[in-house]
Amino acid sequence: MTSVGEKGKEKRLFVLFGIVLVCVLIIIGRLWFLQLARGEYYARLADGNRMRQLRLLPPRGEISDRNGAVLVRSKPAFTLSLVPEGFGSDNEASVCLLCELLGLSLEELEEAVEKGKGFPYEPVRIKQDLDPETVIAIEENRINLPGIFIEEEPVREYLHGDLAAHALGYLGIISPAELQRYGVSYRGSDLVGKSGIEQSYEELLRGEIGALTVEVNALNRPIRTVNVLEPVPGHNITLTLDAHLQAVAEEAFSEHILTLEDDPGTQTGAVLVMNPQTGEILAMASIPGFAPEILLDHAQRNPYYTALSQDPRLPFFNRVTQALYGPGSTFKPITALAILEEGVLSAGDRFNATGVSQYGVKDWVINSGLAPFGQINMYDALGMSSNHYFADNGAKVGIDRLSVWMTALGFGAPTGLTLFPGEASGLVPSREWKRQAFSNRGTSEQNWYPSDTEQISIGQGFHQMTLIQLAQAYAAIANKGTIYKPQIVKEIEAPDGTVVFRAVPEIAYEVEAKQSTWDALAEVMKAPITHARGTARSTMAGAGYTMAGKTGTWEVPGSVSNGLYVGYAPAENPEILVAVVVERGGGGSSSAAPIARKILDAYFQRDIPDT
Amino acid sequence: MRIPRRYWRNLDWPLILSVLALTVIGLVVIYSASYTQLVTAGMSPLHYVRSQVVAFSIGLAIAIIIVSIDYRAWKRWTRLIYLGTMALLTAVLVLGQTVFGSQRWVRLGPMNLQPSELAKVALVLALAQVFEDEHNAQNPKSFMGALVLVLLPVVLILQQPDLGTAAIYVGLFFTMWYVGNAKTKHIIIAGGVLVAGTLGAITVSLRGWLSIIKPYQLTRILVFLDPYSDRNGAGWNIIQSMIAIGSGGFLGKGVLNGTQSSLHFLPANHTDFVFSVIAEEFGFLGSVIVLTLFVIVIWRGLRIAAIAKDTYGTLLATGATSVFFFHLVINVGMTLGFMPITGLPLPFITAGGSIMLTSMIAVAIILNVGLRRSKIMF
Repeated sequence: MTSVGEKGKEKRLFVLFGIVLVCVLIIIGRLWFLQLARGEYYARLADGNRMRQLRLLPPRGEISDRNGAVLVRSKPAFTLSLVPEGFGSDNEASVCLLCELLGLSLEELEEAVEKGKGFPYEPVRIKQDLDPETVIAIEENRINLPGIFIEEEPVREYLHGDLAAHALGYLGIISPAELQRYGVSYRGSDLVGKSGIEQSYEELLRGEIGALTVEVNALNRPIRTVNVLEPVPGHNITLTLDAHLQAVAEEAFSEHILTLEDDPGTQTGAVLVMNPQTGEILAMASIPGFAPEILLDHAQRNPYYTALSQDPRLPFFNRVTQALYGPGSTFKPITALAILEEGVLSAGDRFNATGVSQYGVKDWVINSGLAPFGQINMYDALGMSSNHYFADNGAKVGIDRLSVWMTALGFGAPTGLTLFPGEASGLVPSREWKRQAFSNRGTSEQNWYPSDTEQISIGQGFHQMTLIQLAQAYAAIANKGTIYKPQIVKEIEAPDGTVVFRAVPEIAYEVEAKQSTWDALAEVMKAPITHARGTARSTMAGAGYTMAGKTGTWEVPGSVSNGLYVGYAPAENPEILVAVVVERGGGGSSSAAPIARKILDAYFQRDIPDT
Repeated sequence: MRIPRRYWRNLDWPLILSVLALTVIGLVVIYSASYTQLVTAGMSPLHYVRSQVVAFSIGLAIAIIIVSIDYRAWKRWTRLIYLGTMALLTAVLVLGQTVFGSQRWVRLGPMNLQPSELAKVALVLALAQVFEDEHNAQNPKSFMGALVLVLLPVVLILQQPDLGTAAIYVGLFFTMWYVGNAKTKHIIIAGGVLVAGTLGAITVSLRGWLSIIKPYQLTRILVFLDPYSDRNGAGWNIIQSMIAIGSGGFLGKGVLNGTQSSLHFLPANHTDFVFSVIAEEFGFLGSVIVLTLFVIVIWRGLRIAAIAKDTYGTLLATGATSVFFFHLVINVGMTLGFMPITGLPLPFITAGGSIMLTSMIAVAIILNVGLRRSKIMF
């Protein structure tokens, strides 16, 4: 055993103090490294910790009808967002609590976070339009929900339910392709216009995103506002639509198809109401429609969307602009124009309608076992819708000239309406077209035959056109030559009140024809209503205004025909043009014309301000 | 008991002034760190400062009493004090309150007491008595006795569990054994066994063979090795602490301006992570000043140990001083990411009654030994 004695103890205490000094120097060295060598780096991290860049979402622009009645607007609502970096996705208790409060599954929550990702430390939108109870429940559990933000974010409110759904369009979660197209101010959880006006004017309606830089504490509660970049609200859009007329159109269609024999309720179709003198669309309905409001609802969105997508009646399809129809007899006025212009017959010339054309087109009287029309002029022929008259005389015009007239009237090309989804082009039947369309068949099938021309002349055969194209062709007759570009937006107003766009009538086509032709057409166009045996006479009887129009029945092989009616009023100075198609509605005079009548009545009972 | 006047000349003023300075700095930091939290809760911003002043005052009163009793007279109470604290430690396990997942507190009258703090003092007294006889440090039988003295509280405290305090006991033991004339060879062997045992326990627990170390402790250890492995969980504290310290720069952000602290990114900012607040608000300069004050305290403590009249006094002063040292290294090391997270306070600065009392008692022990260093002639 050794004793160290006093000296040894002192030495050991020195050693201890040496150890202390070394430890303290290591600490100071570490402090030097953190605070001086890397001080700026950590200062930035501290800022990143406490600063949050919140997106301030502006209220989306309102959409109103031509009379200023608001159809869609933004109402204040609350959105829940979270900062993934602050929330701690491995924090199971918080995740479960959040799922429970929001009624989301874990997968849905994860998906929402993944979709909404923006910059680091930027809150990711999880759920919009929270109900007040949820907001309260979340506030109460704030301490257990780090990284949660409740922000004000307006949501869409549809004041007229599903009225004009195709024209207005709907909002949906942005797709990856849209995200790429719209650029950096959008996030994967943002809602964007998916169709109609909402889509076509997405960027104007949306406004400019603002930014709020706030200082937050570790619970992510905003403590202090550092900087505000106010959002700019979206532009307000006034449509040319008339909400009342639109409602009448939709109701008239729905009510009337119930009276039709063939499985009511499954009927589909479209209604278009325009002012031929300006090209303004007053009503546009495609049946069936959909409810944009339900497509916004978190709980119902997905099943509803799936149901709509799987519906064989294609509710998202805008039948006014996208569907291709055969015009049936509603095409006869166009044939009439060609007959007059090409000098085949004048309006007063008599034609012996024996009931069967050269290539076998029959008049409906023959099919019904009635006597043939006999000697008729163009007025009679259009009024009673004589197939023989138009087949024979159309054939005399010939397909080459017929197709020139069709092109002149705008068939085969989109009308230029600015509305998503884009219009179908349809086609103008011609020799060349047939050769190409049947290029994979035998030459005999590629050739054009006079019987083809007869079919085209009476609106059957190869025709494919949109309802809006057909309406535009009628506008040429109503305007005696001028076709205005169809417009659905009347005015766009910036948030500061300045009008950035005001619709002015734009001429789309000027159809060159003799004045006498237009005058003659104006007369014969009244025939279906005024002629003693006019096809629309009974339906249109007793109206307090004059009108012109034509019924049509497109024969669908193996199925019930589509009924059509296109007409305008007043006959002398047409200011409203209505086009109706009822798919599988049967004859146009019984299916489509009554709908048009209701709309025209509604129009003339209520004056449309004309600006 | 009257203290002869000449004793007062032996009072170690650098030590006393450093302790006072650290306490005052502590009050400022506690005020700053708890300000937003208290104000948000609708409480007085001085809430913790007031408690701390009360704790300091009580500590001061106890210290004065301790200083006035000749340390050699304590020997006869050592056994009682030691057994009493062990009983309290056992009581904590049975009826203690759980705070942050571990039972450390026992309610004693108006205040919550942490017996593991008092046990440090008891251990210093007991070990000083054992190693006073210089043969004991090298005598296997006596050594085993000393080992039992330290292992008993260590085992009890690991039940709470409080890894940091247990580590302090072990450090205390090694220090006093070393100064109490241990053979360097033995120290190295014992240290080796300790390190090997710790690593072995970690390995065994990690592999899941035996749960010697609890899962949360393992997480802390692993997180300490790589804080970013669990940045939102256990690593959060370390990362936020390092951000707080680093962002302080040279001069700091100023009182009440520490964003990490006032916005609660920093957890337990007026207790365990109080040094991070110092570094954030007072910068490198302030941190070095605080460290310097601690070095002065330790230096004066070891100096008194060196000039003590007897080995018992040397060992008492050494043990008391080493309490400060281990707290400093483990606490500051934790905030810097050197050490695993343990809820160990920083003496004089951390808000808390128990640590304040323990610190004041330790200071009193050192001063007592220093006071009575010269041969007294009656």
